[in-house]
Amino acid sequence: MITKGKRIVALLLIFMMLPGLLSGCWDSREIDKLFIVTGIAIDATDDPDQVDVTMQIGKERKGEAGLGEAQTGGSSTIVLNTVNDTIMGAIREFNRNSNRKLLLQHNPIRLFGIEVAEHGVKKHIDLFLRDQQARLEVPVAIVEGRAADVLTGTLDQDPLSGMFVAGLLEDLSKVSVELQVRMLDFVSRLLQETVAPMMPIIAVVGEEDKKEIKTVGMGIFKGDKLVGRLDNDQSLGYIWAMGDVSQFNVKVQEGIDKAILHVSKLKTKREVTISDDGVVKVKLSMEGGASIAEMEGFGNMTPQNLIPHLKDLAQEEMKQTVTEAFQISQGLNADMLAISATLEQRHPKKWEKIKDRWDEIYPTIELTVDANLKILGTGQIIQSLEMEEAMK
Amino acid sequence: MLFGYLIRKLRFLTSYRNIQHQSGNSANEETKVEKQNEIKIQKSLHENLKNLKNILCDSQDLNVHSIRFGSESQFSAAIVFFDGMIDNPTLTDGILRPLMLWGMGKKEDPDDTDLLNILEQEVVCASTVTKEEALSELAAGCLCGETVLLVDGCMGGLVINTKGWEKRSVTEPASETVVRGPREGFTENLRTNTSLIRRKIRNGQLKLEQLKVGEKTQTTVCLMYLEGVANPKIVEEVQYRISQLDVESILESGYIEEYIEDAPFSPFSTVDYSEKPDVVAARILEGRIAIVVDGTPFVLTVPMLFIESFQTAEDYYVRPMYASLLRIIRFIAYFITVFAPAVYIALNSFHHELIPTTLLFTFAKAREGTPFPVFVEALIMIFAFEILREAGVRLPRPVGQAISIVGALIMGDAAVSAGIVGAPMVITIAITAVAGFLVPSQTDSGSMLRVVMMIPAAVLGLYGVAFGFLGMLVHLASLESFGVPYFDSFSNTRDMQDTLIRAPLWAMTRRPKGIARGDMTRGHFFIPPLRPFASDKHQEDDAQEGGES
Repeated sequence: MITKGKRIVALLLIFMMLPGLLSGCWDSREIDKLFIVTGIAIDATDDPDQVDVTMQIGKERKGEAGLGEAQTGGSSTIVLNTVNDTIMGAIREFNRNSNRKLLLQHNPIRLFGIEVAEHGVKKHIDLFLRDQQARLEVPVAIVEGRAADVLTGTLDQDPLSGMFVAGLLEDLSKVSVELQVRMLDFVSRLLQETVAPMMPIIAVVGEEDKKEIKTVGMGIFKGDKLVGRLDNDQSLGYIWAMGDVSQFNVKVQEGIDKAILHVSKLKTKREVTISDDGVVKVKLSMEGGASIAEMEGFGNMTPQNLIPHLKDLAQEEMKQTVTEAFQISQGLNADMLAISATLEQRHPKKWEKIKDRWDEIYPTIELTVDANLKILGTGQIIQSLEMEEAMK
Repeated sequence: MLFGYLIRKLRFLTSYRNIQHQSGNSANEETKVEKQNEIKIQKSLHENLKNLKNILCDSQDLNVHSIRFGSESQFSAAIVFFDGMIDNPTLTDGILRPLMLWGMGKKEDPDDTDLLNILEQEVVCASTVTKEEALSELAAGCLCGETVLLVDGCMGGLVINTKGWEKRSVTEPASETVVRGPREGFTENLRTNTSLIRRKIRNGQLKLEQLKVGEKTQTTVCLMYLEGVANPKIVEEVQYRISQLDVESILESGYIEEYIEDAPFSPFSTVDYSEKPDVVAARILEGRIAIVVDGTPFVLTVPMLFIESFQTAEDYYVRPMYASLLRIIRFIAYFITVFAPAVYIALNSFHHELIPTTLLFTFAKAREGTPFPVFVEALIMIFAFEILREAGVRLPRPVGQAISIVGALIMGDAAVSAGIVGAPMVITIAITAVAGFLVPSQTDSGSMLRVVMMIPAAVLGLYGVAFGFLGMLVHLASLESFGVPYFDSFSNTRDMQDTLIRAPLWAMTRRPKGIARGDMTRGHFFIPPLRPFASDKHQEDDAQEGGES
């Protein structure tokens, strides 16, 4: 029999031991002993076994004066750079050479130099998948030229360029989820061998003291290697084909007459058929609502026949853009629309048969695109000012 | 549970010591008692006065006024009272004047044995006049502010009620102010206080029991409760605990509270108090027992539930929706006041990933260059705040203002711009401190617990905070107040009507289950009339029915 006194003593002991036994996380670290990483860039070096790692450390955000003091001069970032054989090695080196520890959780962006992307990114992303601090939700991007340039350059837009790029991609994702590629999206496409991973490409433009960051398109991967790219306009073809686009603009032109149509809530249905002899046909039907955003010319038309006309032009434009983007991917033999994944889901048995021949089949796929827009409105005015004369 | 063990151990030890103590001293005490009883009243006025003065140590404020009265001024007598404890007009009009005038034109003088009875019944004009034969009783009467009349040749004296002394009038209580609701508060006078309660509850069932506590102070302590509503067992328990008190003095109700509370080692109080008659009346109506102590405006009520700290008088005077909102805000505020510094420390030293990036930069900038770890920083700030608060309470009012200005400047601005503490920490401590005052009766527990919670937070992060919270809940759930679980109102659905939300009064038809016994119904459920002139219709119906019958 255990007496009550003993039981209470035992209970007390257990309570006192619990925190120590169950946790063991004595890794308390004050914020002033941390480096908040606001960007990681990975570049290639001359030696293929080495990797050039650059990290941007944010010191303060612009406009947050905090204590009411005047803004101190000097840079609001610290840039660490090293060449090491692994990324972890580089991080260890950074930690060793400073009194602070790198805080990776808040890292908003991972950048790859175009050279690294062309050589293959597989060996450089293991850490980002394995490490607890590194989040899978962090967006990734390719940088035209050296990735480190994005982090080192003082931007006019935001001194914390890493945060700025992340914000930029975040905004793009509001247009279409396909435009922002997170580590998770990239890796899940990479794991489906036949599907081509995509990654947005950004570039640093401008002079030394007036640098700006711009998106220049989407990179198409074959496996883990960058093989080709779509420019900004062609990227639209990609996102339209993938569907679920919340809003975008279509530019139509007929001679000197121009119009921009604002399309919202585009839905794309895809129909993939496969015949017994392995001929794959894809039909994309896009549906969305549009309104006139800006118009120039069309002086010889009346509002009644202008709207169907614009609609036809826009539909044609969309069809063309999608087809063009698809043709580029067929040329690269990279299945960026994830048609193979659709096949695998819908026709698993047939897919098993043609799986090995996919590289031969992909360039031969027949694509038919169907666009169906509804003109919802013309904006606050109906006809353009040039049209008024025609009315009289 | 832990405290229970400690208390039992202590109780055993003290009772053991008392037994030893008593066996040594019992003989001594008995002789003392006998000695006091020895002094008996004599026939001689002179002797009696001498003895009475002796008992009262011949104190300088003891007034002895010798008079002669009767038709031929044949009786000599003395009135004895303490200066300042009696009401002079009552003395003059009620005792002196009738005595002097009595016997004018009377032929026969009564004999000595009848004299006291006649004086008591026919002459003295006062609300209460009692005849006492023991000198100790006469002395006790003097000490209470009564006047003693001794007549030469009579075995005994009259104790005449002439109580009257300077007292504070009924004013608005400083500790519990309301926007809407009665503004009267208790005073230091026991009788005033009981009358204030009785004026709220004009019911014969409101029972008052009076006890004297304190060997030296002889303080009057009153229990007030509603017979048939209060749980008799709890009443008995309160009576027992108070009667067991063996103390020298009771100067404030806090003395009683400390001696009768269930968990003396807990940061949480298990006896509630109030300075407002309406609050005490409401609690009595819920079946609680009020303990009114002479000499203090703070009236104790037992049993206390945890939820009581979050209820204010005004909750029941404003409309229920707003009252419920305030209730919820008070709960959140209490949570903030206990946990905000702990959570801030945990986030700053462990869980940087939980802070939004932009906020993290702000924190980082503020932390830059501050010399102490965030835990020490929090301790310093809390300590400084407690010093300022205490200073504000204790200092005379004009100086207090200066202190608060200096405090605000030093704490709020100078400390931050000098780089001793970070601005976010100042904000955290400020909101913590302000939130603490939303729940006045838990301010003390809150200011202790917030320091306690900071330790696990600094060691284990949010895990530690969760651990501390759990520990606090376990402790709270283990508490009892006079046999009623501290969390009683959360344990059954019916009593939930007055916890997180305050149900409309017309829906709260039953008294709290855990407290009251017997008559549980407060009223009948009804929904207030929605149709206009419903009462007119009702009367018409009544009239029609009357006509038909």
